[in-house]
Amino acid sequence: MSDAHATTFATQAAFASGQPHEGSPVTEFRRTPDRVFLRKFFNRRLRFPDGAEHEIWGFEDEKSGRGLPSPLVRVTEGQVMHGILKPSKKVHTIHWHGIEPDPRNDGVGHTSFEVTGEYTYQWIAEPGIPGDPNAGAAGSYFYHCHVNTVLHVQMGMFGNVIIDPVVHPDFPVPAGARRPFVDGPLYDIATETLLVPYSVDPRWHQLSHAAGLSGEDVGLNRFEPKHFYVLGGNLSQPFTGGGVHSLEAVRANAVGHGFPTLLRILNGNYFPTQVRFTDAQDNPVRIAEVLSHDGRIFRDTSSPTGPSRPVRDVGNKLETAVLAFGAAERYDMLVCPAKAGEYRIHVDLIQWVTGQVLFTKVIPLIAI
Amino acid sequence: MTAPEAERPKAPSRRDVLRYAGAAGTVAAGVTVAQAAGWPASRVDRAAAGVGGVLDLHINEGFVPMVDGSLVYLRGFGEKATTINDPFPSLTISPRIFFADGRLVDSRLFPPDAAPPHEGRPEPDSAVAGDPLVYLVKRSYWGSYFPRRTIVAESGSTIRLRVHNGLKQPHSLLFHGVPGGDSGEIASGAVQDLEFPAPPPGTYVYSDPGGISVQRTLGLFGVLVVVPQQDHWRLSELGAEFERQWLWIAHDIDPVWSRRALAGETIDPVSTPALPRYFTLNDRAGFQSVGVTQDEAINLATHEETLVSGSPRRTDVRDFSQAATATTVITGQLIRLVNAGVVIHQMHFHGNHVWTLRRDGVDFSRSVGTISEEGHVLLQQWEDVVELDPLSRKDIILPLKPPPDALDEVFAARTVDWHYPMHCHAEPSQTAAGGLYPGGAVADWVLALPKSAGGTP
Repeated sequence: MSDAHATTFATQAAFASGQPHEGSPVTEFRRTPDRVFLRKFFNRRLRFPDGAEHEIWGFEDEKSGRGLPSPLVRVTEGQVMHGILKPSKKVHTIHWHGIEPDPRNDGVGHTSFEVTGEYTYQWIAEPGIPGDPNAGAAGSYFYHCHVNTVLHVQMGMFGNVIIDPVVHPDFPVPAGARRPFVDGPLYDIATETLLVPYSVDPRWHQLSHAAGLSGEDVGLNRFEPKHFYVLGGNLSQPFTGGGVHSLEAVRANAVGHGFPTLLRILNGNYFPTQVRFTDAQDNPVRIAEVLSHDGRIFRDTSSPTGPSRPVRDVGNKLETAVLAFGAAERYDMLVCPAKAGEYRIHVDLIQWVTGQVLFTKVIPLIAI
Repeated sequence: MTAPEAERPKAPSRRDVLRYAGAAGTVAAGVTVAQAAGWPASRVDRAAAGVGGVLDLHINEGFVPMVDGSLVYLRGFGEKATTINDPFPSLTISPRIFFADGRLVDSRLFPPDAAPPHEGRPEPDSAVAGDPLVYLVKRSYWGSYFPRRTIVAESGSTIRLRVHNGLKQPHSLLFHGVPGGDSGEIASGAVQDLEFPAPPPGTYVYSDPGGISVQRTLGLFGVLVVVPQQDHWRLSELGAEFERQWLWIAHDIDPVWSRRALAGETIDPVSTPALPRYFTLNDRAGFQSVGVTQDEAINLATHEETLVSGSPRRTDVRDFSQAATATTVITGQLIRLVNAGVVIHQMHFHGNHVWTLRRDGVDFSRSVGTISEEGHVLLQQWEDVVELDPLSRKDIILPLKPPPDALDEVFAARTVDWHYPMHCHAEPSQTAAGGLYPGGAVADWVLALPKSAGGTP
C-alpha cells in the first residue's frame, strides 16, 4: 500500500495516539492570497443564553474575540484563500468541511498531518457556471478541527464558511442583493441569516485535549446533551466581541417587500435536527424554499447534454414547512412569508437511536 | 473484526494464501484455504463452483473480538454450524451469487469471470486526449469485491435458502421489503426452507426482525444485492452505469445488550434503548477499516472490499455513460450504503461530493423533486454528508473527480495517491470503547495515480 497507508499500527490505540504531527509544514505552490484568515486556538468559559457556563475551545482572529461559533470565513469563488492555523500549545488542524482541496489542505491527520506550529491552508473555491451541475462551490460550509474530532468539535472548534458566487453577465446583481450561487435567485443582503443548532453535554466539556486516544474509556460514545442552543444571527452584522452568538429572532421580507431573505442552516450537533415553520398559532406554513444542500444546487439534470437549470426555474420549487438535517449537513433556503406578521421557526433536536425529540427551541420570525 | 494477535492462530500471509490458492488450483481458490484456516477470505476467490442452488444459513452465536480486542457476544447467519465456544464462530457468510440460470456460486468477485482489480483498484484505460491528468475508464470490465454477509442475485433468479436455527430460542429471517422473503418463526433446532424470486435490482437488508432492532444489533443481518441480469455494470436496467461497485454495511454494537442476551434476557429496545460502544463498516472499524493494521490479510481485504479507489476522471452527473464506446466510458464508482445499525449515520466524504441516486430502492427524480413529510429532499443531488437512517439504503456515485477546490498546479504535480477520509459525522460513531478516535465507522477513498503515471502497482 502506498503513502498514507504506508505506516501500519499494531493496535487501535497506537493508531489513535500516533497520528502524524508536523511543526510548521510548507504550503506547497503558495500563491498570493486574495483573502487571509488567521485562526488561533483559544479556550474560555462562555456564558450561554440559559445562564449555563461551559468550557469552550474555539478559533479566534485578530478582531473576533473569543466566541462561538468561531469567526466566519467568507470568500468568493475563484479567490485564493489562505487560512493560517496557530494551534497554540496543543496539536490541531482545520478541516474545511465540504471544500475539496488536496489532502495537505484538507486538514485530517491520518491522510496528511496534524499541526503543532503553524500552517497556512490554501484552496480556491471552484467557480460556478450557469446551468452546469458539475461546477461551482458557492454555498454554505463550515470549518472545524479534525483532531480527536468527536471531542474537539463538541468543544466548539468550528465556524461557518460561506462561498459567494462569481457574478456572471447573464445574472447581474443589483445593489442590496446577492445570489446564493451563480445562476441563483437574488436575495436581500440585509436580512441574510445563519441558523446553527448546537447542543452541549457538560460532561464532555471537562475532558482533556487527547481524551480517549490512548484507550481509556472516557465515554465519547455517549453523547447526552443537557443544553440546546440555536447559534447564528443576521449575517449583515459582523459577529464581534466574543461570547455566544445566539440566534434570537429572524427578520424576513414578506413576499413583495424587497428581495427575499436567505436562511443558511448548519447542524452543529451529532444528532439529527429539524426545522419546522409555523404561523403564530403553530400551524405549519410552507414558507421555506430549499435551494441547495452541502454547497450544491438542486438542479434539473434530466438532459444528458443540455443545461441543468435550478429546479426552481423549471417549475419545481422545493417548498416546505419542515426540513430534516442531520449532523454536519447544510441547507440554504429562501424564507418567503406570504404576508407581514409573526411566524415561528421550531428547531428540534432528535436522539439518534430513539428518535425522541429531546429539545425544541422556538425562534420568532418577523416578516416585514 | 479480528482477534488480537495473542488470541488467534497466525493468519495466513498474503503470500501463503496465494501459494495455497495456486496449489489448490483455480476451482478451490483462496477462499477455501482462508476459510479452512478460520479466516475471512482475502483473495480473488473467483467462482468456487456452486451446485444445488440452495444456500444454507446457520443461526449461530459466539464471541467476536472488537477493534480494541474486547470480546463481545454476538449472533449471526453463518455458513456452517458452530457452537458458542468455537474460537471462530461462523456468524457471517462469504458472498454468494444466485444466477438466473440456477447456479449458486461462491465468489467474492462479481461477476466471477470479470477482471479482478488489483487491491480493489481498477486501472484506467487511457488518458483523455488533451486532458492528460484524467482518464477514460474501462467499460463493463472490472469485477467488484463484496464483503462478507452479501448475497448477490441476478434479476430473474430464484433465491433458495435453508435456514438452520442452532440457538436455544426461536429466530427468523426476513428480507425487508422483498415479497416472499420471510421465513416466519423458526423454532430452536428447526430447519426452514425459504424460496422467493429475486426482487427488482437494488439493495436490500436481511435480518432477524425479532425485538424490532435487537436481533439485528446482536448480529443477525446481512445484505441482498440484486443486479440486472442484462448488465452487471448498472444499478438497474436503465440505471446509472459505473466502473465498479462497493457495498458498505454500517453496524453498531452494544455489549450491554449482548450480555443481557447471553443471559437469556428479553430486551425491550424502547425501555432500554441501545447504547452502542462499537461502530463498524463491513465488520471492521478504525485502523482495520482504513487498512493500516500489521496484518496484510486484513489490509488487503479492506482495500478490496471497502477502500474506494480509482483514477481521476471528469464524471458528468447528467450522464453516467458519457463518452461511452464499446470499451471505455467516463463514470464514477457506485457505493451501496446500508445502515444495519441502530443509530442515524451521517456518511461524510472528503475530497469529492457524491451523487445520490436513490433511497430504499426508489429512484430519485432528476427533475421533479419533492420534500417528504419528514423533511427530506427527494431529488437526485450532490451531498457531502449522506444521512442514513437505520435499515435505510442509499445508492450513490463517487465521481472520482479531481478535487474541485485544489489548485491546478498542485494537482498537476501530484506524485502519490491522494487519500481522503470518509467517516460518519455523527461523531460518537467514530469511537470504540468510549474513545480511541478514529476507531469507529470510518474508511478512506483514494484518488489513485495510475500505474502508467508512476502510481503504486
